[in-house]
Amino acid sequence: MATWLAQRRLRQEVCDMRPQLYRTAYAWCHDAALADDLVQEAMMKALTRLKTLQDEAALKAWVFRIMTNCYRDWGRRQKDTVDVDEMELPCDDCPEKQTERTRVVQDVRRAMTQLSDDHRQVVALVDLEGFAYAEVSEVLDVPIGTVMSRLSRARAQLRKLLLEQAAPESPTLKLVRSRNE
Amino acid sequence: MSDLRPSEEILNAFVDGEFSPEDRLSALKSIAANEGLSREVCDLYQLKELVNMAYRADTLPESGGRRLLHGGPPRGWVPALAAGVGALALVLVAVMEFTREQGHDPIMLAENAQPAAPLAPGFAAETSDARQILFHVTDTDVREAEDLFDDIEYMFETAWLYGQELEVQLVVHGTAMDLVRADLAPFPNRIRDLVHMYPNLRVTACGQSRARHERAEGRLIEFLPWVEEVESGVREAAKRQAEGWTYIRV
Repeated sequence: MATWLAQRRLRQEVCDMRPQLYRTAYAWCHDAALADDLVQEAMMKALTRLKTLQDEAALKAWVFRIMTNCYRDWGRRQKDTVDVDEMELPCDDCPEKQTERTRVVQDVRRAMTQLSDDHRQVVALVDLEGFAYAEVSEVLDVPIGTVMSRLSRARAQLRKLLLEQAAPESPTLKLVRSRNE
Repeated sequence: MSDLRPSEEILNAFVDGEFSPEDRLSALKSIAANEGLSREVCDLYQLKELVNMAYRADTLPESGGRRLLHGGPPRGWVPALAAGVGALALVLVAVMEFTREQGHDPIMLAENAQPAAPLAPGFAAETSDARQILFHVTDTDVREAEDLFDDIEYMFETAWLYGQELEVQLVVHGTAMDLVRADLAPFPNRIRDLVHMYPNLRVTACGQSRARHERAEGRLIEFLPWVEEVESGVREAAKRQAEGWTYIRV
């Protein structure tokens, strides 16, 4: 009975994580339908493998690790068809959306999409979910030093991208094809 | 730390609260003494805040999980796959759980799980959708009954995750009636909670079994208030099978 109660509690905790999982998944892929799929798949796997969880205290990191693997699997399947780094944000240029706050939100998201997958994942886990570096190391299955260096580089690049976006637009050159070509 | 400029990684770790309180204090002193470092740390804090703001819950597109709960069409690859295999998986999980935990012969169980009515040509896909499951409970074992309710709850949770409709009916029959008798039920509150939590779960008990027990015991027998009485458990099971429900005998 005690085991059943514990399992029931853990199942509920997994279900309660849905909003956090969705937020992180969305920050990784910037596609609502895909984020949903990742969350559904991760929750499904977590619920069916709950009995294999060794340390209840590590439940959150464990579930996020499952979602990380789902995202990797998706990336492998899509490698030749979709590049997540080139995904366009919906409603990017809708004038009615261009309030100051939404502009900042769009700028940050646009900058995030330009990070590599590895960098985007580590930023989302630390900044959105507040994972400690040791937990991120568990979730992504990389050494803690790698977490630190990825995070540092990711933030440096984010900052650079945001500064570039904030700068007034520089004139762009158009390539005009020569008629003689 | 006071003489050397800390690395970017260390500054990030400071901003992310990775330092012990002592190290944090020492680092704070170094940062406060250096205007460039202070600005950099400030930028890092600001960047963290910006990222957080960019993905606040109220700025995200609505999650399809909520949409699915309201019956909207599923999108993406998981619902597409799930639509095909989800219902089958539900039944398989249930069957496997029972065979594993109760030691039933899977082949016999599979034989029991055939629909009684022959399928009309062209309707195989619809009738094999197996989201309606009937458990015919004839064993009074309390432990197995507990497992059964756990599995039913798990099935409903799984169906919820996939945004699928699931109907489950228990037909309690013969000596298993003790499980739902008001005077003998081993876990009445568990049954109440499940019935209240999952509207698509019906717990029904055989009226003929009750009459037989009343005659044998010479007194009236009441079922739990959350249990519906059907005239005959066997007839109810046969009726559901004819309607295409998956039949599992427990």
